[in-house]
Amino acid sequence: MKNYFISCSFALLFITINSCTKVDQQIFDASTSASVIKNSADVDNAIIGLYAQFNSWSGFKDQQFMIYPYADDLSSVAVNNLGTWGTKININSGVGNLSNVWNRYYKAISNANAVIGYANNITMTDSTRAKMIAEAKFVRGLSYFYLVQYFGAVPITTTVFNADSDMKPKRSSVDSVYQQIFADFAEGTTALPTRLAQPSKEFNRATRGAAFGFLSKAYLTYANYLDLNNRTSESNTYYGNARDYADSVISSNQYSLIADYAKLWDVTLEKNAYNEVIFGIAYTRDATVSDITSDGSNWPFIFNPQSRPNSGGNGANKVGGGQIRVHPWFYEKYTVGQYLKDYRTEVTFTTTWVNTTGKTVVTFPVIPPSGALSNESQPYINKYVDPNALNSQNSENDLFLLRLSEIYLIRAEAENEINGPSNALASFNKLRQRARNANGTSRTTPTDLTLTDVPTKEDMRMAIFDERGLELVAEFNRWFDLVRMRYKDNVRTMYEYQFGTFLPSLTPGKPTYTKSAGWSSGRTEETNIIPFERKYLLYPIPANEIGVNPYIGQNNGW
Amino acid sequence: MIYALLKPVSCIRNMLYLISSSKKNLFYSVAFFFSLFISTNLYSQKINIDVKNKAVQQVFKVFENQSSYSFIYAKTQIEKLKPIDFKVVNIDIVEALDLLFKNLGLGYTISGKNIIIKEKVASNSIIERPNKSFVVTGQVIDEKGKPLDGASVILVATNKGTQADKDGFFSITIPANGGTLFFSFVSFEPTTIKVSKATELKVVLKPQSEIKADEVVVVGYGTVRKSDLTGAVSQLKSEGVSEKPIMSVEQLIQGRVSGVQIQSGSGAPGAGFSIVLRGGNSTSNNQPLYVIDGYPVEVGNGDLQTGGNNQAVATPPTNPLANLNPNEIENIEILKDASSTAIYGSRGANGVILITTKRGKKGGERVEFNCRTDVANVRKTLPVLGTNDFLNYAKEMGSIDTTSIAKNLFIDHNWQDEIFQQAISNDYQLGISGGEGKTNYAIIGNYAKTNGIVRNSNFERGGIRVNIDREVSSKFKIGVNVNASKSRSKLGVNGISTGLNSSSVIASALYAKPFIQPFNSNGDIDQTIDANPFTLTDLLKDVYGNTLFFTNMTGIYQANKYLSVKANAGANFSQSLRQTYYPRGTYVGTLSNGYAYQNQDSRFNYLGELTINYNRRFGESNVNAVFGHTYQKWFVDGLAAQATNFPSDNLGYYSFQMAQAYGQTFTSHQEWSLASFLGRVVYSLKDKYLLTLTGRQDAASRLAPGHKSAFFPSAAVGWNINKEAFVQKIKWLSTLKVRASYGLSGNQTVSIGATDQFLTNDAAVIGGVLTRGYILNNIGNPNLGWENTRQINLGAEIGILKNRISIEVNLYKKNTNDLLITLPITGVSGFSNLVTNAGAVENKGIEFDFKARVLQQKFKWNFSANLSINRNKMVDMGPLGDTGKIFGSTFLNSGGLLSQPIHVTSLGNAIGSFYGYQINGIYQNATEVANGPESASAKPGDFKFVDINGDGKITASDRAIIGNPNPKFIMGINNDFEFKGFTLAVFIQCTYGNKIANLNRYRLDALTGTLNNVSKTAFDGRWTGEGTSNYYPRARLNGGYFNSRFSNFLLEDGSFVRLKNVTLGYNIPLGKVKVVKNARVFVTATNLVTITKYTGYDPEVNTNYNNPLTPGVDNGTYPQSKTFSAGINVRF
Repeated sequence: MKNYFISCSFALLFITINSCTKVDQQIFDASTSASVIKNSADVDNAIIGLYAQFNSWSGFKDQQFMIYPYADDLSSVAVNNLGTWGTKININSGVGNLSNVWNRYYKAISNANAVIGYANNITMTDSTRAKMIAEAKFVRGLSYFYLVQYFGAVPITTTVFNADSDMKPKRSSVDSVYQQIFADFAEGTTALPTRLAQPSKEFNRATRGAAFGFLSKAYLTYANYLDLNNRTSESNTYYGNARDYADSVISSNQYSLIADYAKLWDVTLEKNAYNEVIFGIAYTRDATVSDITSDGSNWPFIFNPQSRPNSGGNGANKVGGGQIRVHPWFYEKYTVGQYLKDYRTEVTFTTTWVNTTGKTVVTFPVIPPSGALSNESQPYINKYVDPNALNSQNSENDLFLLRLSEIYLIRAEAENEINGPSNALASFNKLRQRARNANGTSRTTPTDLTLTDVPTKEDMRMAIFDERGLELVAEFNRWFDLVRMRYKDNVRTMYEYQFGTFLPSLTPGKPTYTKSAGWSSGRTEETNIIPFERKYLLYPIPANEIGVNPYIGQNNGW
Repeated sequence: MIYALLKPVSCIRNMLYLISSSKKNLFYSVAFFFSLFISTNLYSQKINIDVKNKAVQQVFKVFENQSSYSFIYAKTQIEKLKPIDFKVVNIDIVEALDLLFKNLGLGYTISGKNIIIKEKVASNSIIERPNKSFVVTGQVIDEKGKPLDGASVILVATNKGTQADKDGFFSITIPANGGTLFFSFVSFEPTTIKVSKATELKVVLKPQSEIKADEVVVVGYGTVRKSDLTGAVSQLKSEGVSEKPIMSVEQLIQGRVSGVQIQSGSGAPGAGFSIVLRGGNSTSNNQPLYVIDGYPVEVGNGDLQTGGNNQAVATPPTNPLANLNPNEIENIEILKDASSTAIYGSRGANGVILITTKRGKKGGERVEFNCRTDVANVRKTLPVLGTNDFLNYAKEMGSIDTTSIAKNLFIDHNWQDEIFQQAISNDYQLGISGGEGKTNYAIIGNYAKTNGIVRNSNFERGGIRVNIDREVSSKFKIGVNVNASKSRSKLGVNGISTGLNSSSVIASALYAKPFIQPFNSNGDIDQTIDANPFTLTDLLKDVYGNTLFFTNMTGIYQANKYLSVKANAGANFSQSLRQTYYPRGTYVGTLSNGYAYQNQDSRFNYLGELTINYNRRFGESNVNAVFGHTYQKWFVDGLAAQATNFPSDNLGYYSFQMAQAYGQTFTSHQEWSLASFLGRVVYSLKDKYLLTLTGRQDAASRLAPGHKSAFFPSAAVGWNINKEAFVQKIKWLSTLKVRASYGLSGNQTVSIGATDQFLTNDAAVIGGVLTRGYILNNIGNPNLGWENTRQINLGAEIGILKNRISIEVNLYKKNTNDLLITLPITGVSGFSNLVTNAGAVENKGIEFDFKARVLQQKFKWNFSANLSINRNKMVDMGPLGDTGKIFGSTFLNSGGLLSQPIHVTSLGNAIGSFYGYQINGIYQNATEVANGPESASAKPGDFKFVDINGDGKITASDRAIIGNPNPKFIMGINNDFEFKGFTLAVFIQCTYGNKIANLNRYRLDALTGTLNNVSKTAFDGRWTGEGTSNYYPRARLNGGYFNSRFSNFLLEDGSFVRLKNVTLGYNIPLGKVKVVKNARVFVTATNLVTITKYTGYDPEVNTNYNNPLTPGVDNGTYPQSKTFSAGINVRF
């Protein structure tokens, strides 16, 4: 009996030991690249993951726009603590939006690097591989393009990080970041499909035209950078490239301007807008998620007035949040002079609406009609309206990152910088022409620009700056234009001019309305304009990044 | 509480209702365990007869009444018999029959339920027994002649035994060759008496004169004599648990032993706790390992990715040990040093808590019923503005909405009064235990419903435990433990990090303005008001239910006197269900037109364990050794779904099918395992010199190949100085022992999958359609290994005056290396962190435990106290370098209220030190402003932020460490008094020197804007001109709370002295009542008096209790309550 038990016990012991020394772990709910990336369709799926970086909250959906549209044209109301860039700067390196944006772009880059790795390791045809790699590089190039504009010199990484990678990467020079961007975009100019050749199931993804377009925009931006850094002798080559690639887009016959500027912003005709739009961040009403992680956009909520029904999806009346409003002077500028009765101004801004209770509300500078409920001192943006938005986070409206009209302006600007206005006016006037077309009933304004209007290169540059201001308002270009373009003196940035000279010249404060005096008082949104400092031309490197990487350093002044 | 005193009957009725109610399926499902025991009882019925000069038929009747047997006989067989005297006390029916028929000169057989009387004595009885057994009767009394009710009488070397009755009488059958009787009774010295013939004994037991030096201590995988113990182990009996509103193990331990710091996550019923032994070792997980009856139960491992809207489902987790009923616990051993924890290897570094549940004891049936009612109230409410004051406040800052306030002057709510309630709770326990012969058993059933002090929050638990021990043969014993329980908590939405009013009832009540009306004109809750507190308490639903089935069985084969083999196998299955519905009126609910979330997961693990014990004395040496192998494997499955856009809020989460849109569904399935060899040798020479060597080899699946296994050794020495001749001369010194230990243990809390690079997915809109694509999820770390804690412990135990006074002192130093750090890494990598082994933390401290039996006469007074001092600091930051910082997660991050971390972990400082700006009073005048660093933006009356780096401006680099969340010391003091039938237990708890970040004041005290209500204290004390205040600022309309900066202004001294429990009990004299053996009534007050400077609701607070990097925060946290309890304990 005793021996039986002992031998049984030991037998049991050995059985358990033998069966149990394998300590395997299975995580059935997670996938590794080895288990799920097996063929070209899987790689294609990983490319979709790249675009998912751009539409996310910390991509283009919110966190960047919280920062960069707040230039001198638009401002946020008090609910958004970041406030207006330039007027009530609360930005410091610790602001979460900054690190969110930084991390998001590098996440896109990291995933793009991974896709390039998959494509190289999986069996597929050479043309498929070339297309996939070009698409990943397009995403990577676009990410570096935004990073370099925000933060200046940033680290370049072209491999996927692992636990043994160098976790303290150093910054590459601005020049080498641009070289990386040019190289990444260039690959798409041959390997990506043209817009018209793109299969419909790949709609919204990168095309050859997008690669050309962004290459042109990046060359222009780099040439500006060289000019601003007293390297004017080098800049002409890049202006030339910018012009030539803009020409490539124009002459490709893949894109055309939407005849009626208003139709560009009609959410029901959004797909049609892509005749003009070269690359956009696509959103859809996402019924599955109602919070910030949804894949719908939130600009209708952010830009539309709180009392305007069926505009922004918020609450039962689907109103907006009224979070971003237009500076009074900015609106006023586009109602006078060259821009008198400009159709684009009418389409772009909201100054009158009927509120949820059927009463009329107006903003500066509209004279309130009798019976109007109230008046507000700032107009709103009308480019993003979705009557069918599911909620404040779920609108259909895409973000158009690059349109053919901007390509015309890039062409004009690059040509002007090289040779002056003569050969730049034609492409510039394409936009005036479209504006005059209005809703089909032609107008006389805005008139074509002539050499009389802009005799010099500098005059032309200012005209382009103003034209971009109206044509592209609320399309996330203004801050970039301010820090990129030079004022007439060829020394100061437009940013320095606007904040250092122009804005202080205005009557400070918001306009107020009285029956006797009409709209009077100020034309700025704030009474205090924060004086210009050089540091505002770049964003601070996020504090988190500095905390973990001693080599990254802080941008000057921050 | 009077309610409970008056209505013990209703307690019983409720209990019966529970058992019978068809809604309580749990009780049905365990009912079969009861029936199991009823059937075994048929074979072990007890007989008590005491008759004089009675006819035999009448004696038979008594037998028939006390058993299920009937006598069958011919009248003629008994006609001639004379009346007899017959007395047996509580003995087995067969033995009683033997005695009876021996007296009568007859024989019998048992056939089915019948006892058939035969003419002849001798072998006709079907059960063989010794021919000439005899009966010993007697009485067990104490020195004063008082009978010892329930004293145990055991025939040594057999499994026979009985229990003295109410008057101390017993009778027991002794085999012909005689035997030795062993008499014992709780807190009396046991005694043995040899008997060789029938006799009547008077057994006098002496009370125990001293705490036994040689009691046995449960340690990992075995027991050792206390005198042989070389490690630091705290012991705790669970006495008096049923008399206090204690719902979980942590509350039971709190303050009772040194070296253990316990903080509540919140005061919500069923909420979790942080438990830290000897300071935080780890930046990832400081939870100790729990071992329940030999079965390791990990807490907080293997969390699943379950999706859901962060703002809705990110409330702190409920207590994972909530399903364990503290009343089932017999005792708790807390293993603190490396010598005692090394045997748990990779799971031992945070300490180990061994829990032994109650088991049946030899003797008759014991039926115990306890019932308690608690009445709880919030300790205090915080002063906020009424409507009139709010109007003045708004006017003063020039707010434009003063007219709308003025219109509502007649409405004036103090919202805290609306959401807090007096909560009445009930707790019922029914225990039946006993044992005789070869089987002991204990069955404990409980049901408790604790209502929270916030409307509609509660915790409900019902459970049953069945522990059985059986001697299969003289060498082979088996034991089975089964625990089934179900709990359900309705969470009052609790404080979380976002700072949304709608994510915390407390915050919503504090911030709600006094002039808003909660109800619309129809009398319904007005859901159009953002974060209407009533929406949160009455319409928002967040229910967490957990079902546990936990069983293990052991078999011990005693091969010979020295060697035994033990097999332990079991399974732990739990299933939890979280159901959440956010109605319109909450942030998430309004956004989504109703948001429902349901998460169901089931967790199963099994354990197989084989250990060999060897215990032998060789001359002056004694060896106690254990070796074994154990294997545990876990399986986790989860399913989480979410839905939005509900037509109405009426059905909540019960009707996902009504939703018009569905969110992403998450499923998960994971498996992992741990295989180990373990061993320990305790060697003692002359019982004076002790050596313990321990080791465990662990192999864990969750670590990367090549790093899966590691060895955790420890060694300890001890010296029982009191056994040396030169010390024995010192009469008053009864114990003197010193000991030292050194060893290694580990922490393997690596999230499953951290070693590999995984892919996850993210959606893009492609071709107008939402399309999911793969993206990288993490950086895999193939080098991941364990956190290693090296600990040295020096201890001394001193016993004075027959151990009437005992003192234990432990000094320790722990160095934890290779911290499992979620290392923040460069965003350039595409990731924000990497799970890695890096850095080191040091904890050192001293612990005192003092016990004294001050008075032992009619008036008894026992005193005990413990004091723990621990210092925690980071000594190495690994790849982050000496200036590296690990920040805690942010609080109040919604809408950018305060999007900055408030904790930092950095070299030379405690883990999770508070980090922020410093405020040095208020700018009194324009000159001060002009000279300050914020001359451009500040105005007189604003906070004066300190320019720490002296660069003339206030930037993020002016932040510094501004406080330590860890106490300088913690203390617990127990006093137990007994006089006649009265007992009084007084327990005082004390914490000194820690800081608490009172984030409620971020919005209450900044006096900025009219978005929320503000503190009355701040408003009354505000700056209104030069010299009026140097603490509270002026009221102003703009500028954000504290300029969006976390500062020392919000840090408060968290020290407190608290009368944690006072229990007054009375043992009701029972006189002639025979059914009831013992009855006791009691009243208890919990948190009766608290002395603290902390201005929040309660200083016992730790919102993010499960994250070691963010300690000591009070952020809309559900407060602790002040509770009065009363109840009754009855033993039958």
